[in-house]
Amino acid sequence: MNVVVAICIAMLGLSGLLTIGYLLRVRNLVDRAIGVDTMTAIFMSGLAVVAAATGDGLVVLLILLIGLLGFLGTVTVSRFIERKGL
Amino acid sequence: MSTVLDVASAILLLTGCALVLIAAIGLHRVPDAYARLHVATKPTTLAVLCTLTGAMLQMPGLSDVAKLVLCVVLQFWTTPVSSHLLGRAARSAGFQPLQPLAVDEQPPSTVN
Repeated sequence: MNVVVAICIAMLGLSGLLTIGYLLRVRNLVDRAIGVDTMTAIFMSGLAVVAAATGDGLVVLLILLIGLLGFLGTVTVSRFIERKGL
Repeated sequence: MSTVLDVASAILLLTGCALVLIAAIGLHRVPDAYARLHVATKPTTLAVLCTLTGAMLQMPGLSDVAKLVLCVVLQFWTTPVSSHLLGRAARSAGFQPLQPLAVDEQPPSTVN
């Protein structure tokens, strides 16, 4: 199980680095919102791996919180783009 | 029984993390904002489903499993909504798809 958790953390770290590179590269608000959405999914998967490794119940609440906050952020940014433009 | 659960959980966790990695690579490889929206939402939804199911199989108590089921259900409700809103925002901001649209149901007056 430890080897599996290490491989999962390595893959998630690599995808986090790739997403940060994408966020630094793009220049408009829609692509940035897409990148932040991907980043939220990476955080949720990482916290799920941590929850599976430790069996801690508090991490589960953090997963719920991050999912809802990511949804609220994406909806707010897209409504802002529709009203005010890029 | 515990070994079976461990193996199933390990397979699900590895599948989910590989899907997240595929999504992050696809963000760099896809040329269009709408296609990037597809890449950023569809594999990550399946990845969150896989990793949360893998965490469910490791949880000791039933209340944590219930919370994780709630997480999966909320993710499956909210991701299509947010991706639809982002696509509509990209459309109203004037992004053009690389190939012309087959069906265009948005009236022209609402496009800026």
